[in-house]
Amino acid sequence: MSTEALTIPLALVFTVVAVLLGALPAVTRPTVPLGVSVPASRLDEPVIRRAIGRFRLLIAIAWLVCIALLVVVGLTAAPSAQLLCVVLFLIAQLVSYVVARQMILRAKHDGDWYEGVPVRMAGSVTGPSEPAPVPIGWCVASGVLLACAYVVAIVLYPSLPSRLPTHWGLDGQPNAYAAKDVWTVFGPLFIGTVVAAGLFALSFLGRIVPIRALPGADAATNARREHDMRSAMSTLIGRLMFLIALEFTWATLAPRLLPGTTGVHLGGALAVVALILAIVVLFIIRWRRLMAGDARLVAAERAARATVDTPDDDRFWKAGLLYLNRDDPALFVQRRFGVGWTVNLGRPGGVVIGVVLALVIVGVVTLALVRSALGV
Amino acid sequence: MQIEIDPLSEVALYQQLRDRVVEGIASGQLRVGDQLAPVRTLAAQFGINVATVGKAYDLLRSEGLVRTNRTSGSVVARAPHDDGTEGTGPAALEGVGAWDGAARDAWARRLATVLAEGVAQGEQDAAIDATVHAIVKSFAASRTKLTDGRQSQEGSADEH
Repeated sequence: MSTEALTIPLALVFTVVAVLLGALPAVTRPTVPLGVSVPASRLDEPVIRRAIGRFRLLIAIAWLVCIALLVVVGLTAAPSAQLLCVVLFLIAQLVSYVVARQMILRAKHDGDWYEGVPVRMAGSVTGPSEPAPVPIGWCVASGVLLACAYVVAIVLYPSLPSRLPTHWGLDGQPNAYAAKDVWTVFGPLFIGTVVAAGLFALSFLGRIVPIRALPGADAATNARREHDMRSAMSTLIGRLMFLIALEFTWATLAPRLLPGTTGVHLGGALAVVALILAIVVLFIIRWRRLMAGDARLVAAERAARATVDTPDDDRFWKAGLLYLNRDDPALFVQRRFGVGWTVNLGRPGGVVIGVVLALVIVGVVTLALVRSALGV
Repeated sequence: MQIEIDPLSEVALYQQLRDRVVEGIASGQLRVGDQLAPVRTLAAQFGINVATVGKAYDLLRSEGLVRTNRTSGSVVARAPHDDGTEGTGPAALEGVGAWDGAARDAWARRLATVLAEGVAQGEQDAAIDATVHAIVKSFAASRTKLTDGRQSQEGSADEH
């Protein structure tokens, strides 16, 4: 594949990543702007708004510079130089975050924001009142879809030609062939099955990750808040599971059932990707509403009586991203900046999972980039 | 039952946990047979050491307020004594004996210290009496309210 062909998808990925990063402050808990723990009485400090603005500005600048660099490199340098662009992009985003949150950290430190602020940790000694939701419906739908795809592929297998197209150029013509075997026919289905199963496992993780209660709010409010958060996550995972199953089913069957209509294959695949993005946007809106609810709760609490805040736990959060608390028995906790979960690196199991996850991500990204850069 | 603990307090965290559970039993929010969250789960909710929660549960066990076994985990083993109130369930799990005399003496000494603070600060005897009375009454009132609430809930559930 030519270098220019890689430039467009990479530019798209850069754009999506930059937009999602810019949206992260909106879905972060109100009392931890940019991953810095802040007492409720300081939420209106102008420095917080300024820091978030600075974060978005730096993200945008980094995005613009990296896109420009990508275009230049795409026209002049070897494909491997685009790998460097990706690394540079990631580092630039990280630097934007660190620089922006430093503003809040400095103001918090200089102003001694937690001085004299009463803090409490809340929790339930009788355990959760209701079990957390699991996206069982979406899981069944994905399972049925994948099972149908396997059946169709098995039925089709004998009638397929001995050489199959495995890669298509942007002009829609196949540019790579492989001998017919189980992997060339069922490969995408296998990947889809593994990813869907992984997402289902992740939904179980979502049940056990502790969601720390808001001190000051009553038990019923906290229970509802926890339920809303868990079901939002569960719904997102369920929908993603189904759409990913759909994407890989399409990738397996479309070229076999509808040969010669590459535009349709690509269009279908892109439509599912667009749906996935839409699902993510819907989730962000829903989560944003939950966080706004949190902010209202904190504000109402503050108006009604003297506040109690959650303790300043910045010391457990390296750069607000990595959680390291040797006392905490939880292996997974809610992320601080943004949505989702992260491992507790203060536990041996957490370190193992963290290292494995990092290796998998780096491995997959590198493999994908190297493969497409080499045109394999 | 939701509780709050203060990580900056001079009172040790395990002591705060134990105190909140004792108050929960006195106010009827925790009843005989109610299950307490497993040590690990509770520790993970607060993000504190498992040993801290374990120490609180040990203390409650040694006081006879909580009992732990393999099958049902930790359950509340004793309830306040409510004269003539129906529907409060048994006052204690089977096999849980009366309050240990030595433990009661220790409690009386702690109470003496707390009351001495009031006396030393010049509080009137009657005012101290009234304060103590009000606290004990508030526990009883909370229990009555919670019992009535549960009964009306069960009553409406029966009608369906």
